[in-house]
Amino acid sequence: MKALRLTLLRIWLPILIVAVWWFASSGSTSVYFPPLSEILGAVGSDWLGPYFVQHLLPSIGKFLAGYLIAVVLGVAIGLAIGMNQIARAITDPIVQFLRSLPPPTILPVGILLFGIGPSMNIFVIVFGSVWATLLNTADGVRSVDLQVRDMARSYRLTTLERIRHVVLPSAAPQIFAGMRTSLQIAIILIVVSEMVGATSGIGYYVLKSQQSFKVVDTWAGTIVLGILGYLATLVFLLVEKRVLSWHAGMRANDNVE
Amino acid sequence: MTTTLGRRGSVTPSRGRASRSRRLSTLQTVLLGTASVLALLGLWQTASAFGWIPASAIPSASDVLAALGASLTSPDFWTAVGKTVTSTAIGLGLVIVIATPLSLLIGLSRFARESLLVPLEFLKPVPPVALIPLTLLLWGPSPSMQIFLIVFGAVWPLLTQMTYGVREVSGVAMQMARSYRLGWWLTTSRVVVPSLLPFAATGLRVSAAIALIVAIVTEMVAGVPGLGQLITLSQLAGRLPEMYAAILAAGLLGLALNALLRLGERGALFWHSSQREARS
Repeated sequence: MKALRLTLLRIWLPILIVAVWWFASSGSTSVYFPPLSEILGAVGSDWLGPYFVQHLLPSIGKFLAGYLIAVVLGVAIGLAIGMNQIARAITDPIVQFLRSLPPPTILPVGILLFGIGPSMNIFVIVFGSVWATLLNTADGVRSVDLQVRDMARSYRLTTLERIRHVVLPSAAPQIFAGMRTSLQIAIILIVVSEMVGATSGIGYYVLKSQQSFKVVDTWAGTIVLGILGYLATLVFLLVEKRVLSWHAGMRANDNVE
Repeated sequence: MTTTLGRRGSVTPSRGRASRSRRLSTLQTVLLGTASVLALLGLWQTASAFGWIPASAIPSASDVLAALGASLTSPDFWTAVGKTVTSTAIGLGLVIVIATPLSLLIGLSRFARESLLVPLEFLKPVPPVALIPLTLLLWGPSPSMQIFLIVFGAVWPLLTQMTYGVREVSGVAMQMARSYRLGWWLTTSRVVVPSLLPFAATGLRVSAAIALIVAIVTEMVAGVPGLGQLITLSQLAGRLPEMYAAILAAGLLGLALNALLRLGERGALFWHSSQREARS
């Protein structure tokens, strides 16, 4: 009974919103607000049909490649910087600057270096999204408990053992917080980089449909993009929950977004 | 953060540490940092001079710095920067105006919290840039379209942090306020706001970074006037030094925005050192 009430409480508003949209737009003759039924029809027939292979899969592939490279680089360099004061002092001004650089500004640089195509998209994602993971890793590594660090030293752990058993686990919540930010930036960048520099992919398609004034397609593509962003975050949270399951109770407050 | 660790480190008695990982003084850190920036610029200049990096993609450091210098005296450049800053600021202002009451509502009312859960959790991860084509269709490349996108993208960090903060307001402190009969105004100003402020500051900083990103990206992709449009126009005209100068300026703008917010945070939260130590 209680569960039922909670479910009702959670779904009444979404249902209301969709219903209002559906009925308000059902007889719509406005160019800009086509009926929701038409939009959803286009999502079904196009995006679950031919566009799935033509536009959706390339986007997801480029996104995954760029994001995974960024995470691996970010954690590796972050570890190096976090564990070494001198490396940190040397890199800090440059990293701070590149982190503050709004990532989309490197789009033209990517186009000049790589031309239009997947390598440019991946370059932009890596270069734009690596910093959040890198800085959070470095921060997390530096704030490893001093006692734990001394303990690792008196146990004479090798550097690799120290990284594997002491540093990484203790920095994990913060690394994941950084990876979450990187994820959001990577999603933004795959969409924009396809808008300005690609010949396939969902970002390319949505902007194209707007420029050729195919309003239903623009709406449909936007909804698909929204769903993709949602799913990516959902998958990320599931992975995080799995990896940090042992950690959750200990530091429940640490990785609240 | 560094200072905190340094302080803690010096209190902890461990002779082994002092010899093994020597702490750098502030002066040494600044010197190393400056040296590395200069070295990087030198390396860039040398690489361009010897043709190691394609001049068609990246002009030499001296050309870019000269273009940056020239931009700094050009009124067009400052007009563009002004437009970007204005849109970002208006967007952030709206974010505060929207997130504050909404977070109170969500934090204090279970009905509102549960009802809004699904819509908000669905909207939160939607990339703001995904809405560029649709908003272009509806409003054209205008400042209102840009500000809508800024708000849509940047509202979430502040909202999330503040909702969390509202729930963290200590129950004991609230009961105390009640038994002291502090009244609504004193309770709000002495209990709720101080415990909310650290969360709001963290959220606002993240929101500001996103606001600037969205402002610049709409300028680049949709052609709204501003620093982002300047980057695209320089690129299309093949004026690469100007383009890189504008990119550097965007980075400096990001640094300045972050520094400004940190300064404000330090002023507003000087009493709350533990929060700063715990980090966001």
